Amino acid sequence: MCYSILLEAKELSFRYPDETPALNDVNVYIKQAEAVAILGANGAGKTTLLKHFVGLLNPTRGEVFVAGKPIRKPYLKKIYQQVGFVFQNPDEQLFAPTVAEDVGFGPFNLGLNQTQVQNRVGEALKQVGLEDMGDKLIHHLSWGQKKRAAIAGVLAMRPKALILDEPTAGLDPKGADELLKLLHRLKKSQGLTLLISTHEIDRVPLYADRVYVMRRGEIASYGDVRFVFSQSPLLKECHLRPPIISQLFAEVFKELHIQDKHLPMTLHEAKELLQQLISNLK
Amino acid sequence: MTHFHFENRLTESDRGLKFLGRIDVRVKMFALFLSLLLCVSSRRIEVPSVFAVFAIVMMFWGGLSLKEVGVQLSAPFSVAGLVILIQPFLHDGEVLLHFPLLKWTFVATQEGLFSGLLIAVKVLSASALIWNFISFTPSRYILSAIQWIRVPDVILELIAMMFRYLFVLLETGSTIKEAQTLRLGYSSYRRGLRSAVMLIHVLQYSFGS
Repeated sequence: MCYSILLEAKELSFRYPDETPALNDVNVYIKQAEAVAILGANGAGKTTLLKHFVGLLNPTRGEVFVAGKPIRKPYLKKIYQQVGFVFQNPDEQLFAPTVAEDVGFGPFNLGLNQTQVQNRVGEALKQVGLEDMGDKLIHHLSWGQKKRAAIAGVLAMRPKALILDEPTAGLDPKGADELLKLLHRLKKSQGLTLLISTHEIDRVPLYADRVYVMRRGEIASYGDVRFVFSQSPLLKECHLRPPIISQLFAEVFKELHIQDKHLPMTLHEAKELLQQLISNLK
Repeated sequence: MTHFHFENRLTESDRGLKFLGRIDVRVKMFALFLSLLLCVSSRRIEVPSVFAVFAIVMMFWGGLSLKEVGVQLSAPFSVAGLVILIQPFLHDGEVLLHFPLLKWTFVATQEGLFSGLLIAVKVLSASALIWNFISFTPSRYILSAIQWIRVPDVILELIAMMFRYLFVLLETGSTIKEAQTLRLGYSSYRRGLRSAVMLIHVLQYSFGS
């Protein structure tokens, strides 16, 4: 049976054991092969929401579904295979001495034989561009390489969806760009569903099909990238902003009294729009 | 989320402070040491039993839930259970039961059982008393009481630093365990054991380097 919705949270509420409310009546859905970004200030509830999709936290109220199945104990093993989770800090995700051992941890626990595990490790390392680093010790890797190794460890389980908690945190601009390109490539080539929590607004239009904005444990807005980033006052309330390029063009349009143009979300869109505006002026 | 319960108990939770908080922390510390001494040195099972019951009742009375008490006392209960199982076979005395297993004959004695029960109750009472103290005394009061008994500043700073890094260790350990769980690291007993060894190794390495 094919489900077009892969991950879904219905009326999800959560309180921590000390009664701190973290999520309140959250409704989220992510379709297969879709890339969704979760935006929100620190403490908005992004990580708490993500952890519900792999059963690391149990809802106080509401329910979470993966491929139509509620997240409950009998389905957990299947869910762990279907949904991979990449933590913000790779040092907390890589626990084996070498890269290959760490990447092979999941396939080994799936009960695969030595050859199959080695194949999966090789395949996953190739996907993230670390094919020559299998024998390297984890603590000899750079931060960016550790992030890739963490992703490889999850990819080796061959999941349908990848949940990434602030994947670009701590990376330099080049490293962040490369990581997002890698995720984009995985989505295109394998139809991988991506759910990414992030603060990096300027990069969101590059990969996200849809965006959820969180504020104090609630969904403040959601929709396609253009719609969400057109809500400047709401974004400001949520301690966020539209992409810089979009803000720049909003100012320019205001000055030039242009009303019938869409604001660009990426550099590529901005370039096209500028060319169009210049040719109109000529 | 065990570490979460633990952190709450050890940090700034004011639960139970309405009554227990009125008692000077120095008095509580003195009472704790005296109780521990009595429990550990007692040769009669009644003494530690009374302290164990008292400490557990106080934990409930102070507002801890059954789950919280269970989480805190699960380790000492396991140790106590193990001791009761093993001790009867390690002492001479009046035979309670004996059975052959492979080429050996196992003999459980009454003296051994009593010794096991005594050790188990001591473990339980001491753990419950310490948890009782920790649960209702915020860390800042404990540190000031240690300062009052003129413990050198170096040791005090070391305690404060250990206290801080205890939570870093717990949080890191908890996240690594979550990462292992998500890659089926605890899907069977054997895998769980292997993952736990890896977890201990990586924590030891992280905090040792």
